[in-house]
Amino acid sequence: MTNQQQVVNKIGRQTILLKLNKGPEARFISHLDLMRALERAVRRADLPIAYSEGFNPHMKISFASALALGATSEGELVEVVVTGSFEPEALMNRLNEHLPLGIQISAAGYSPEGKSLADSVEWAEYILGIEYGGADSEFNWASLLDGFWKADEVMIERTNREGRKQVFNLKPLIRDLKITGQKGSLVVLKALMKAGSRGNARPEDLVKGLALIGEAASLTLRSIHRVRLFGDENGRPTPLDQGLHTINEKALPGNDQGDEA
Amino acid sequence: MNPDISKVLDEILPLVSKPARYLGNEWNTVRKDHDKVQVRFALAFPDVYEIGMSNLGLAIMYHEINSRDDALAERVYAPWVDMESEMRQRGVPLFSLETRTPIKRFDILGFGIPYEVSYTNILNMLDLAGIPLRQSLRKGSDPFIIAGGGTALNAEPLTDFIDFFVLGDGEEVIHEIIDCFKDWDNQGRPGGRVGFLERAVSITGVYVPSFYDVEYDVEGWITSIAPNRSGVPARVSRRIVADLDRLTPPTSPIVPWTGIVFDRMMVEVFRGCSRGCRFCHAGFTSRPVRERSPEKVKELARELVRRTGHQEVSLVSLATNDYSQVRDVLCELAGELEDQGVNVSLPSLRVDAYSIGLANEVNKVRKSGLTLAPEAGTQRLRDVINKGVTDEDYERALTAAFAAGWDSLKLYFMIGLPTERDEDLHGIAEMAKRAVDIYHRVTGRNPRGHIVTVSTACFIPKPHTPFQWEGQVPLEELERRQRLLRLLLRHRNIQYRWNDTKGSFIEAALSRGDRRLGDVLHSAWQKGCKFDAWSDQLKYDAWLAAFKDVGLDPGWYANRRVDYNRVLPWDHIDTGIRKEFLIDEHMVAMRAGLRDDCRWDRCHICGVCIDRPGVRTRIKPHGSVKMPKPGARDEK
Repeated sequence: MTNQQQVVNKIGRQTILLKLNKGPEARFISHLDLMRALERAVRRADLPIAYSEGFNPHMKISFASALALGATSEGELVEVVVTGSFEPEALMNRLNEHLPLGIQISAAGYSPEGKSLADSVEWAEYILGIEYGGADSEFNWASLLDGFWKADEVMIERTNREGRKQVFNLKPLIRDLKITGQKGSLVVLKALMKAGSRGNARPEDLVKGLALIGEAASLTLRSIHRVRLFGDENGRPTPLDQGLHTINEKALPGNDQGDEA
Repeated sequence: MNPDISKVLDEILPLVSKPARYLGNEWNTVRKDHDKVQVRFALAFPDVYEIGMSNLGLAIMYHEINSRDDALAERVYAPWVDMESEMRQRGVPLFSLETRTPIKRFDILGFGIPYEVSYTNILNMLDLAGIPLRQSLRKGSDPFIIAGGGTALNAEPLTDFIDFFVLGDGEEVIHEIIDCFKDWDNQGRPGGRVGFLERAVSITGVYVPSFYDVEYDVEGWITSIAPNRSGVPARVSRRIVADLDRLTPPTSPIVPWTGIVFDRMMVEVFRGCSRGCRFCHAGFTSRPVRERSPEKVKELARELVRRTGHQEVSLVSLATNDYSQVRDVLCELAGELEDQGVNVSLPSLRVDAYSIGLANEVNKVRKSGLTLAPEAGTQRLRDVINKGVTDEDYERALTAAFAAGWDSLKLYFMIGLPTERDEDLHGIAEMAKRAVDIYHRVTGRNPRGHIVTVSTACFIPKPHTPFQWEGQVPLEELERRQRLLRLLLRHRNIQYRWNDTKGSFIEAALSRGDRRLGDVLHSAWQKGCKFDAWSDQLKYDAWLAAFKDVGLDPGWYANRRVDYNRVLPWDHIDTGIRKEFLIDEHMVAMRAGLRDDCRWDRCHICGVCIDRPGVRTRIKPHGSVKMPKPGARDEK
């Protein structure tokens, strides 16, 4: 990728890629509301944002992928189109002054040319908190994951937006699963799952699939945290944020900006 | 942030609908240290977040109180039923959004009352907060429960539950109340709760209902309303802010995360209305007209966009087309804010070509639906209500609208207006059909689908208006009229929507009620009544049972006609309008007589400007009353 260089297109617009944190204070903000909050912050910050043409012009802001309600994230990606030349760092800093509690830009850079951001998304990495609520005191997470990888297919049911039920195989949509921590009945899983327009697995789907493998084990999804979004280069997941060169130190993970009294 | 409540909320919020309602961390939220101020105010709205956040009055109060160093204000709205049930299950008390502090710990809890059918929500919120419902049972540590807003002028059914009402404009009186509270607090709270009320009652606009005794005759009519102690005025005057330019309105109102009912920034261009539509409670209870100067309006609009980032600014008032500088201000702002992707809008339009022209200027590109409110179907009935809209106005307005590109129209009417006959309902149908014809004639296109939507609401004769002596048309008759309209409006291009008669019957009984209805409210609440404004939540049978329990007849309250010489339950509330004027207006109405606006006609001596130093109609920038009639302004 050659996204280090500034790309100003013919009509004097340039696209800036931002990486965004959604902290616990904002985890109940829906995707639509998050977009609205960002637009309002852009207007407050008085940034030279570009508008779409047409009867009902709207700001050129696009998200890579919608995050589920209730989830936190340190890896959301947003593209904004500005008119004229504007340093990503200046844009990030100005925007951060106008963003509500719980939402922070953590990195910025020029957007690479080529495929649209939303179309580039292939994989998403999550950290999931899952609780075992059954009676088996010897419940073995490691063998559960083993069972998952050994299965030929993991057929689960999902209700789509129109309310219709579909059955699909979850197995090819999960790339990586790792136990990173365990405390009592709660396990912390790191999962790399398919995302985007060419197949998408939700954290709920994974929990359903694991419950199935564990012979109807009682599993509850306790927390969802999205770490990073990935594209795909020759079959290998490649981080979509790797070209972001300007980092907001204050918004790095573990340096949570949203502490409240 | 209260850690205990926060912890439980983490568990509850994933389970409820629209959790963003309960977060309290929106942009421009004010958080202060509770230990560093003397007066802690909770501002409550007895309906859901999306409606409460659209209320300009509460936003103003939030700003006024938080502008002081010695006080803080935090918000609380009625939790929706799913949230309430989770809270009750886990023992979470009603809490403020900003710091999640239990409401019981505030000094004063102030409700903005939007409509009568929110009364049960007030009781429910007090209960959720763990505060005794009846004011007589409250102890020293309980907050004072106060209430304001337009409905507070006739909220007698609430008198058992409210320590005091605040009548009229709140910007000045709120500071006097806080100062009064501080003095009482500094002196060691002499006299306890009553001690504070006895001090507060001397503030103009403060109405302490427990300081009045009401007597009734055997038939249930009121014979007297009188103070029961010294130092209490026989009639309580409403507060009136004389000059809007001397106020500092909020420029950094809270920006909600989620969509709300009025998702726009509001700039109040004037307060009051002297058009004199005889059904209009707001029109008779917020006089005189006081305009904000065009400079202030523009300054405010710019500042609001800068500090909120909102995409729409609305110039609000009871009838913005009547603002003397409306065209200049609208065009200047629309032109200036267009580059920032900000729209300027008018909240409502009068039925005339001038208003359509205005709307057209700010709405050049996208024209969706246009909404107009002729209110009644015949000239005679429109004259009875003094609406002052002629058939010619209607014709011209629609011609202008369809020519300008609007392709659908919503028409609002009321049914059950005084003197209404079936021919007036036929008139509604004719107006709707005429709209379809005008569309066809102007656009040359055959109308497809529902291009006209007719909505009717059931008229409620409101206190403090010339129709206060009228009764609501009985329920069965209202339903017959709705059925008739459904027949008359059967047309492939017309859609008819009507409101729930039962809800408006209950609203009429509460609106026209006296303080004996406190027991009915309490009983209805105990039977599970809440969110009565939501037709899917209204428990009509429970309401009827509650009236029965107490031995009162809702029909008597809603439908009774009252003689001029009777004492009305709200007679001790002085809105500034003379009763003789209202009687006169009622008599003129009965012979379908019109009364023009005092802004361009002579003074009709309604009384609001008399004996009130500084209070008068203010038209900016000319400064005095007379101005050309809006139609005439169009000509120049």
